[in-house]
Amino acid sequence: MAWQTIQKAMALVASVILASAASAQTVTHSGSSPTLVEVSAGSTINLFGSSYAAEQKTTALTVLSSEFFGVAVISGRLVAGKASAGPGDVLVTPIEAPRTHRYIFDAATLARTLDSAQLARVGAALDVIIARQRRQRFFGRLEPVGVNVRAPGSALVESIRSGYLSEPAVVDVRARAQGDAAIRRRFTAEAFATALSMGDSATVAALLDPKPFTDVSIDPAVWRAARLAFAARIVADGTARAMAASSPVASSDPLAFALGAGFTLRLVDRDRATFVAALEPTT
Amino acid sequence: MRMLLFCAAMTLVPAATHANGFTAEEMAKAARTAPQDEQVKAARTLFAETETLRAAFVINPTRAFAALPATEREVLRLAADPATERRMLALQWFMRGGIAKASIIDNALLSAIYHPVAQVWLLIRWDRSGGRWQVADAAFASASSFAETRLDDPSDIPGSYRQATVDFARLTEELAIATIFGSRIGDRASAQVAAFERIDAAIATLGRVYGEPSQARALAGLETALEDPNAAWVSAALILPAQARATLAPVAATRSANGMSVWLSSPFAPATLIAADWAGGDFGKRPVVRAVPLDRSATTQATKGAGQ
Repeated sequence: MAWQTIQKAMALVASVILASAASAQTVTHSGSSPTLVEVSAGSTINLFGSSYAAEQKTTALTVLSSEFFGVAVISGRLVAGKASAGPGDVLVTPIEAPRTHRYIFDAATLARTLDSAQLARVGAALDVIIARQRRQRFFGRLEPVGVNVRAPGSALVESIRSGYLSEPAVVDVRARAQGDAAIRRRFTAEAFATALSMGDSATVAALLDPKPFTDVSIDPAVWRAARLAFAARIVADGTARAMAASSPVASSDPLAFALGAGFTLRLVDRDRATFVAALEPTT
Repeated sequence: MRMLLFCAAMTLVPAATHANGFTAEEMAKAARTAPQDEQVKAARTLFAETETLRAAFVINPTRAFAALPATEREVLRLAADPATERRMLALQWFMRGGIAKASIIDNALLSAIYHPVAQVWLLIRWDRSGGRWQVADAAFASASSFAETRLDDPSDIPGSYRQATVDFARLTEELAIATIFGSRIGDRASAQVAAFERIDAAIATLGRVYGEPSQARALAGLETALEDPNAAWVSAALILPAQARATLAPVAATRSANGMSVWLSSPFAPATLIAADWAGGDFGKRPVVRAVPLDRSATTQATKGAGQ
């Protein structure tokens, strides 16, 4: 018991999620960085509505981009539908079309994106994959395709897009809506109302229209800080918070929802996602 | 008692700080308190250059061509092939109804003008030398060449414009690919032909309206009234500056069960469309004139002057 307690504490420090045997583990991203997950045989990883079953004890990294989410297997084996992935494979799911496909990931590139705590845990296993991929390349059995799942577009564009599209709250809404704009708008309104009523300024910020902020700066650190500061102001609005406790009600305008008796939540579709553009008092 | 007072304060404080929600304008104002990037400033200047070019071609394309430096004139001549009056008028129609976007990605100075009705792009690569912006390369391409728009209903003209504006947010990558490498435009001559076929097809819908004498008269009356600040029945258009009203011209005509609508646009008011609705298709009566804002998500429409 004491050992288990120590193990869990270390795991938290290292941003590692541990799942007990035969359990379902829902992975929560704190941002777009990879999250290390360790699961035992028989347990399941749930990621934005997609399930990945561990056939054996598995260590994997969940990744999130503006268009995809996925699980890169470092050791063990995961199965999602008909797709099965072992060490060096990544199961990739388009956010709006939950069909999972297996690809081979570039282990050397992935290793460069990990933090020191993650590298300490999986560095050795990744080194084995890196060495194997080097041999396969040498013998012509493996050829890089130049596709970066975490950054489908050019680096600068993706750094801007992932700043607002890779937010877990946005990915969650898109994944559940599966490309249906009307459902996505309703889910966005509901997620915003829930976050506002709970005083969750990080989620409120994630669901705010990014354009006014990216218009000012393309540096994610700058514009996200400005958006978060504005979200904090919204959360401090006691009247709006109280109204947000009620469910948003659709109106004749597909991009407007009534929030309680006092506010209208105005949405904007942007870049295959929906965001909150305004929360106006109903006149 | 002390506990009760504490609770009351906790309840009252948040409500007193800000109890008005927020408008899109307030959010934009708050965003502007963040330090602005040099790159963003430069992209804004590039956008202004693109809009200036667009406006010049709307006012008088022949004069606009003549006023260009020789190198830019040659680039745009190759892109648009304005050898005939018909092509020049098509170019003018395209510029009038287009919406502009500029971006500076990986030091490439790029802008584009997109026409949501024709679904055609003019892609422009700029150089900046000697303190001025110059058109270094330009190409026309139909949307299907590299970026499909997703329109639920092509006859929903405001929806088409709004969707195009939304799509712009993700098109910087395609612009970079298309203009720098040309890989997805392919053969430029073929792309140009395909693009102007689309433009001609879109213009043809208006041509059919103008081809019928009573409709042509009604449109002429509308255009005259739009320039007249005292014409009360077109007062919905008064939200536009005089220069915009004077340069309003039809970009599309749509039919519905309720009649016919003609949509007008001006490069000096890119965020607004003017709709003229002829109920029942009766062109003997004055249309209902509406101003339809495009720059925000709300679908509210400023409707005034429903005079008959």
